[in-house]
Amino acid sequence: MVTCFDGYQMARHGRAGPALGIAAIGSFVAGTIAILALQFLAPPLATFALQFGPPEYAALTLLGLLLAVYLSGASVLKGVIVIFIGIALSLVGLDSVAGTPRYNLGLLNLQGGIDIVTIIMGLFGIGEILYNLESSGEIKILTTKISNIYPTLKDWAVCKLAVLRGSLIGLFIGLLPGGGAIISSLIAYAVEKRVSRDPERFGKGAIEGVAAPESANNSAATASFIPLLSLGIPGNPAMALIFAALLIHGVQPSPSLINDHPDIFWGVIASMYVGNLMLLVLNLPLIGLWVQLIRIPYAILAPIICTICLLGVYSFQSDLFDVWMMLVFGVIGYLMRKLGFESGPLILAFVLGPIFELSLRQSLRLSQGSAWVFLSRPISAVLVIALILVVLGYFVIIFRKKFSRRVG
Amino acid sequence: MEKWEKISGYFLLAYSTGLVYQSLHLSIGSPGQPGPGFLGFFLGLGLFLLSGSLIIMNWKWRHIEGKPQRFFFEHRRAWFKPLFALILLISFATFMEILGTIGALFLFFFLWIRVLGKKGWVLTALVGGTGTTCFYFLFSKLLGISLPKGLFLG
Repeated sequence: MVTCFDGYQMARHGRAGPALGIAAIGSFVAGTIAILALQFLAPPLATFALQFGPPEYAALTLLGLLLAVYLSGASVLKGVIVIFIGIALSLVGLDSVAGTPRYNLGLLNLQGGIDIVTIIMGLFGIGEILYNLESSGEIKILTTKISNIYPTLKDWAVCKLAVLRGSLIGLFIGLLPGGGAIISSLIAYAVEKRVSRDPERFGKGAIEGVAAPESANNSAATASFIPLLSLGIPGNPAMALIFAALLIHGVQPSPSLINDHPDIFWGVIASMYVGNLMLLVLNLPLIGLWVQLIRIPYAILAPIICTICLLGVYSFQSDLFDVWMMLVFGVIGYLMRKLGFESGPLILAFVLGPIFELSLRQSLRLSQGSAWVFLSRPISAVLVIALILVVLGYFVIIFRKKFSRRVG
Repeated sequence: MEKWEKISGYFLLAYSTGLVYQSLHLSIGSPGQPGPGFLGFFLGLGLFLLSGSLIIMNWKWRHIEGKPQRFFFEHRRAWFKPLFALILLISFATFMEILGTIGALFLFFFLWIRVLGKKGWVLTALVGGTGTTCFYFLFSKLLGISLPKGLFLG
């Protein structure tokens, strides 16, 4: 999205090629930096995370969920509601401690819980299609000839620091719980505009305005793997999907993943290096072809996406119940989108819900019901303080806004 | 739009009440021995308060003078396409086992492209036939998934 601020303007001025080129090259550089960070940071972080007990996990998951809402930029009230619903949905099925069936409305199919695949396909697949169908006509696309995709020497000179700054910003934001590609690209764009000697060019086709956010989002997307693979905690909705995919394949992300499944950890890193290289090898010469894909009429694209969702969900357990569940979540996703509720935090809460519940109950059992357990241990105390600061920070912003409005 | 937001607030209120009721039924236990309904109970309570806040905020918004107008549907017939698509999806799920995957899929593609996409008969038949064949081949033959053959072929 942020890339479009200047990327669209560059395309209008006949510079779509260099915009796409610098986006691909910047992404490659940023991705490589973030993979190096993943390679060297994740193992020591995982060793450190072995000290984590239930109170630390409870505090960390809660902090991640709160930050996800806070950083998403949408309504905080609606975001918190979505998180509560996500956790509530994750409780459906057998209780992990007592083995009691719960919240399944008496349906046998729900005894094993709601499948995350049905929720994801419903909210992001069907819900999104239903929402997009509302627009009256076909989406108009700017058609421009893409000739030379390689940036000029002048472009390189302007962009080299922007790419580096974007990469580092993305790396830092990606490490934070709740941080992700969108927030990092927004911050990278804002920083670039601030450090620029000529900020008026931004929004009118400045190539740094493309290079920095594109580098930041790729770096953040890769860095998000660090908490997932070292702590077993997905930091954002996209990582929640990867978490679910690993679970489907029988791999539980946790601090011991690097030791228990070194093939997976180092395989992921190797695949990232290869993937990052393929990004350049495929994207640069085939940009013209990828551009043609967005010209497929939505009337043809939409039923194809729906069919992938329908047959994909059915094939998971060969059960039509899953298809019905997906349709229910499709309608919920559509209504959520219409009413301004974000779907991403729901997925994150659904994935983190069981971790949070189990660690909360274990912590309370350990301390015989005393909440002091969260403050008596240094790591969890730091996390709880961070949690309180996030909540206080939110209220301070609200009061400052109200105060300045009254004064104004 | 405000009406729909109010409805969503009341729906969440009802959902949270149900969650609290179910949690009490399951037993919430004690702080030292939390039961299966422990977290659900507190989530339900929290959700009750949050949905109450949503209703109050909606009420306050409705009484602001000169507020910008917001509509649930941006234009008059905007509801038609999502509703028709949903009917098609429900029909697919209903008739998949009766007509079989091939029949249900072809009808699904055909009606979507013809009615929603307003494309010509030739293109509709072409995409419907190609799409059905490709997806059936991909899921049934390549991925080895047992798809319903229907009452006529099965």
